[in-house]
Amino acid sequence: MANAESPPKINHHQPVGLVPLLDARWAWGGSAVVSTSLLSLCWLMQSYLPLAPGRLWAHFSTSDHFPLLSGVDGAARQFALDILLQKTSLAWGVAGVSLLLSCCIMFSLCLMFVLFNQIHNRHLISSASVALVGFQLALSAESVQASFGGIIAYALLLGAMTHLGIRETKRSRFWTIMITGLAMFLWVNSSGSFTVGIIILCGACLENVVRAIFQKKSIRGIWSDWCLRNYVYALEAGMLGLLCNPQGIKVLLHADYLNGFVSDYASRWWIPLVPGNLSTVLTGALIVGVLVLLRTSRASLVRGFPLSCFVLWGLTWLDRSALIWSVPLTVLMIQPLLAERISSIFPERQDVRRDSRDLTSKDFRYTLLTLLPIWLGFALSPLGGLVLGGTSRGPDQIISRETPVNLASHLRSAPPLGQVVHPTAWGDWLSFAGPEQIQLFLSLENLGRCPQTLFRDQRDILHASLGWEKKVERYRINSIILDAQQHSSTVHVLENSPTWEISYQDEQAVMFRRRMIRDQSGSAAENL
Amino acid sequence: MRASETATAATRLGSIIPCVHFCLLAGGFLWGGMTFVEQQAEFRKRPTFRNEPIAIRPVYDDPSVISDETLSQVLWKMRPRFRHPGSKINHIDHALRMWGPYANFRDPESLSGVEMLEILLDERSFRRNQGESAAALLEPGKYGLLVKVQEGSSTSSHVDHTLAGLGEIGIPLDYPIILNDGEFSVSEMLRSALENFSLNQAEYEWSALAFAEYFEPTDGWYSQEGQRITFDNLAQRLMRQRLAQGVCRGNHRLHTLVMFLRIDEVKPLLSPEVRQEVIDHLRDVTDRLMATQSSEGFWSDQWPGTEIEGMTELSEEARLPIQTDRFLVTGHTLEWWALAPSELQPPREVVVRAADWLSSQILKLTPQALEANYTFLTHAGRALAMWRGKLPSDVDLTLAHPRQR
Repeated sequence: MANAESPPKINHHQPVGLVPLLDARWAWGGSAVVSTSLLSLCWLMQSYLPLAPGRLWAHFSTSDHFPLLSGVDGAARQFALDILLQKTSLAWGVAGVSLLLSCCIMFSLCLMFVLFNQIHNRHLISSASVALVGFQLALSAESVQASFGGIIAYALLLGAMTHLGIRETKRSRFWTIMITGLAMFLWVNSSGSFTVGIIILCGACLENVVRAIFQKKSIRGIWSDWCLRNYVYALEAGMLGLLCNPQGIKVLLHADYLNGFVSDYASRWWIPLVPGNLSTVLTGALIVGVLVLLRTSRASLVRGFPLSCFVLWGLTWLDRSALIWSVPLTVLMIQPLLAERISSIFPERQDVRRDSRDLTSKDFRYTLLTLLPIWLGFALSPLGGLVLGGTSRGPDQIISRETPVNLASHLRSAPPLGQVVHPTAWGDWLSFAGPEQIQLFLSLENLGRCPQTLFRDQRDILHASLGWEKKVERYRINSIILDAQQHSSTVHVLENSPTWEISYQDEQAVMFRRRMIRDQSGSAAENL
Repeated sequence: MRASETATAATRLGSIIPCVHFCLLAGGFLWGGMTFVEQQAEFRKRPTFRNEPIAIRPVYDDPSVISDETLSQVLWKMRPRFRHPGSKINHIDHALRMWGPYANFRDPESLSGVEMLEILLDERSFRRNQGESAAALLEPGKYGLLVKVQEGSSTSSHVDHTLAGLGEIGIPLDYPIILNDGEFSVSEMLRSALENFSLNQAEYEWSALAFAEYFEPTDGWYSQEGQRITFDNLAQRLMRQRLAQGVCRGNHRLHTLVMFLRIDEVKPLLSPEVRQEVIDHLRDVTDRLMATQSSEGFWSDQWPGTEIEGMTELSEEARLPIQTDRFLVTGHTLEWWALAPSELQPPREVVVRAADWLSSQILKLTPQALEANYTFLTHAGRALAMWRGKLPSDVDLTLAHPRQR
């Protein structure tokens, strides 16, 4: 009876990861390889189909639209270019990238399978993953990439939690899934990145090292620990993914930027990952909340968690880029504690029969369940549409609502003369869907490479900060595109300016141009 | 039996996989490290400096533009009478650029070229002229010597104007600079300018000119921001803005572009395509100037006429007195025309009309008006001398003032 009420124990030293996977190699060989190949192909096709703005590829095809960035060959960009294009021909570069991406996905999915094999109650996880994929697919095509990143990260997080030995009840598992699912959804949607998973992996790896150190394991002991070894594999896969994934490179660049743009940049782009960007009161409340959790939770905890967590939090006060590493670790610690607290608020129903199956058992049904999201991703992708038939998604389903579609159409019909300043996030779309001769300022893709002065000046113009008129003259800007909601105060300033007039307006965007601007530049003789 | 074989195979595989991963990881790190080192070396590469700057001499000598006597009178009036304490450093800076290091005047109030050079580059002379409490003009920075700009009357008025001016008057990079902090050289000013340079900084024309004067031929370098800079994109940057926008109504940019063309004749600086772009741009400017010249010979702040954005609109703070604007634009214009290749020249009567107006107006100036407009007028004085094929220090001033002999 006592056994029936206590949660099932997990053997921390049981061989997990690759060994059970190898035992189940028929499943891996039969389904995982095929599905990951399809997935890779699907992902690559997604990259080549320029349906959504913000792709690395978009930059290569549209770099002529960004004359201000002529000669911008930052270290990271050069590194990426060398990998992708410059040191090989275009064809070989693309083939190489495809291969690397495929390998990366294979690694990641392998890891996902491994972790799914560890996780108890896999029905829920699979169902949640499917829901996550479906929901994100509904939002935009680009989220396909993010979805898989999300699933992987999600699985990794749950796997890590299981590995930590959190007491299992259906209710705690349910709340854990809900909380982590929500957190992952927010993260993935905001940073749109597979790299969230990688970041979590690094955090998990670090956590394991810290734990091993506190358990006074020898180096050999640490290495011989199968769990740690799997994390190292995962870390390798993660680093590979980070370097191969355009989004990963972007994160690296952004991390680099955090050193230069401490407040504005971080607050604008890293809100989901930056608790330090909350106001002081909220940050204080967060810390107090964590302390309360630490003191009250009955979930298993070793000294390494809070210690390493607070050390890293301390580091973030010195250098905000440390947040990238501190947040995953914090989440790893907080989520189990929070889940345990929440489940204690809602006591477990005694009439529910506990699932007490052996956690080491492997069942092909679960493997099939994990294939479902992959299949769903493929089936709902453009490639899947081509292969399986059915009605293609319309532009309104493919392109996110934040994309300035109507503005781009207007620009095609009336191309602006000279330099255009615009919200950074719209740059890629305008370069893709706008007129050929448009001269844009910056885009998200080249933001990480642009000189800091450019980014600051663009921001000052968009927000009509002090001295913005001089900057408009310095860059010889003849058109200013504003987000009607985000830059409403600037819209007001320009509406009252004698120099500028509205040339286009819809619910999303407002475009101003100089009052005196002519339709054609003409020669000096014509103008005089 | 079969089970044990499977287990053995799994164990073998379990030990091979880590080895493969180690090799992959080590290879990846090695490759990444080598690439990183290679890239860093490329980013740190800087142009080689030449000790002696490129000397650009005037090419035209046309007595119809200004007579020897008038030129002598104009230049005598513009001698640098800045010996009194508290003279503005930007006046001395401009005067040195105009007169050069070899100028000498039989006038106790006027500084010689060497004295002006010492005031700028030797803190002892600087303190004697500016006083002990004046803000320093030069100070050691992260990358070399920083020249302070627009931080009071003892500092320079334009970014890197002092450096480019030193280049224009032929000061070598190893020329010593004496500060309280120690002995430096002009090369450290150049290094600082190079490392702090950003293609999109507010004022960049003098920096670009200094680079052109002091760099050996280069295929470009990377700024601290990671942007690749070549003289081609410097030239394109100089042509980007509206014509009258910027310091001195955009004329410094035109001067630098002309200097690019002239230096390009001595050492490779621009690609043929960009050189042609520059020539087309300056040809367009000349056409505009010909169309907007007043009947008296001067130009105003509306010298570009109508661009695609319409006429030039100046903010309140950018407005100057009308006569000052005329001196500014007319003097600068004659200066860059004096150095420009023949294909960019307007008909000579345009130059003559401008020079007549300029010299007559300068000769009428009161000492107070002269001082108020001195920096702009140095360009005019230099221009008028160059139209006679000379630098101001080469002009015989005894025609205007016999005591000068």
